[in-house]
Amino acid sequence: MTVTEREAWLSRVMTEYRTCLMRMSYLYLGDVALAEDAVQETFIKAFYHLDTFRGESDEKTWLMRIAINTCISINRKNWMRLLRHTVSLDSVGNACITDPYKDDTVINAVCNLPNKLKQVVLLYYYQEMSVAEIADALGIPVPTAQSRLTRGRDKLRVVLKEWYFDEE
Amino acid sequence: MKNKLKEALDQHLDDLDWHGESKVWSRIRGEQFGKHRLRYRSLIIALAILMVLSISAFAAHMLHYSSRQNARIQAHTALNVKYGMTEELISLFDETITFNHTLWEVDYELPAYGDKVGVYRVAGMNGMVEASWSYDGEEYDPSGDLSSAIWGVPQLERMRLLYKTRSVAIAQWDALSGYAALSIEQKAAIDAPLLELPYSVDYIHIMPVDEDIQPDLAEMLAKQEILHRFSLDESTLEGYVCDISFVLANGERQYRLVFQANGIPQYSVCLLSPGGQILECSQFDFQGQESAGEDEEELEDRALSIEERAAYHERMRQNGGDVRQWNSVLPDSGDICELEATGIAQAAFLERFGVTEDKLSVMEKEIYCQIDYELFDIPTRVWSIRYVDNMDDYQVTLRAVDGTIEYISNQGGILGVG
Repeated sequence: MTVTEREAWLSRVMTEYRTCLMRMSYLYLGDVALAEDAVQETFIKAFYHLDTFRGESDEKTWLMRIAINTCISINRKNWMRLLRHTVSLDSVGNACITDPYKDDTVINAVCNLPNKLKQVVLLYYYQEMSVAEIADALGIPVPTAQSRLTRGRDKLRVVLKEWYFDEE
Repeated sequence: MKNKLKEALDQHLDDLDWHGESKVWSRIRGEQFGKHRLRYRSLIIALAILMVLSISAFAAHMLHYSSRQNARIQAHTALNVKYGMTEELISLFDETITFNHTLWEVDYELPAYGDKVGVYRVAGMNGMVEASWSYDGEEYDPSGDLSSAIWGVPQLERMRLLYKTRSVAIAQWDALSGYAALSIEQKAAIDAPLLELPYSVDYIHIMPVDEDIQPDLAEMLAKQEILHRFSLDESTLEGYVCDISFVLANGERQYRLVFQANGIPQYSVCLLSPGGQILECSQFDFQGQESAGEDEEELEDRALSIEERAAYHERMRQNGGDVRQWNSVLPDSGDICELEATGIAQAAFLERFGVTEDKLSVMEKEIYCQIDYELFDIPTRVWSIRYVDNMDDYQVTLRAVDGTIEYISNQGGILGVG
């Protein structure tokens, strides 16, 4: 692929996927600035590793995998700073910042899920990916993805009793 | 409906979008370093001569470093040239590297003393390397006095020396009679130099003063708590040996007591002085021998051969285990073998840190063939080799396919030891 073709590809995917990656990263990291960094890093990594994308999964799944890995790295770096007592708990950003005038019940319920369950729940409900695609994106077996989805869904049902989401 | 959750989230996030295209293009095209949160004043270091020397040295050597590792080496050189930072000092820092084919940046932070040390940054582009420090131009005491508001290299050297002195003393006692069994007075004497620091990264052993609970009373309070918490008879703790420490931790004065039976820790208690409040009272759990608690799994893992560990981790992956945790594998037929990987590691440690094979031979060695999810954006098979003792922790990561050195460091624990 020539540089021009690669840059054209990047321009297209940034337009097409920037919103979903940004929102996904924000839901995972709980911090707008960190999410912006995560999306930026995701596109840069995708640009330089485009040659390794062999089309075995679809483009969105591939980008999601990179984005999740990037978010995990950012999260881990923030938690290591917390362990060394230099970053207060408030600034780590587990709690999603919300508009005080919007009902934040749902977003808080999702953000407060354990990370492994949150990944799967967001990819299934928010990115509307299949379990197989999720397993591919996260590098886990399909049964594991299904199990985590079930557990995440069960946890959300407890918190969001009044919400009805009928599963296919 | 399945989409109800998505609709709710989208509604909440309808004003959230990303507009970082320009930053992406800047990074990729290397047009500019970009805006940064920290204040920098930079001088361009004329490293053309150094670059030529470095390139010729690498070309002549049997070791092949990845581009990323080469960037790290250049960054270390730049810090040494501009600020006098030694490899030992650099190893204290957390290193964050951002790397692409035209521009790289490495940030060095010391979170434990971040406000005093600031951040060092080295950036390289098209053969030019630039080092800077967030406190460039600021005054600090050149004598190394740790009361200075800003810590330059003299202060870092002083801090490192204090921690190293303590680490050496602990290691010597461990080799003799065991550090844990030392008295409060002996531990306080070992840690006394650290009182020069404005604050410690973990805790410092100190001596109780008149206003504190005295050790005998602390032991009695601890025993009472154990008997009460676990509903035990008084006779249960007869014959137990108590290892007692008195420490300053996060501004609190604490007693930390471990009760042992037949040399095996059974109970631990932490209580405040002078109030006597119990902060923690717990029982050591050795039933994990059968239930495979996390620590036991790690110990078993280290004792396995490459082949045994690969099979074990494969079973765990098949059972749904996280691939990032259970990541050991067998090398592929075209990969370098364990012996070759060890040779490259030893040569690299000698070149980078001057540590000889004789020294490495008396250290504890760990070697793994595994899929790495940290250093690479795409999971990559690597050899990870580590030599560790009380003072040093040499680590290297090699690409299994060709032995390229992707990462090398000495993570020797100076801070937080004790």
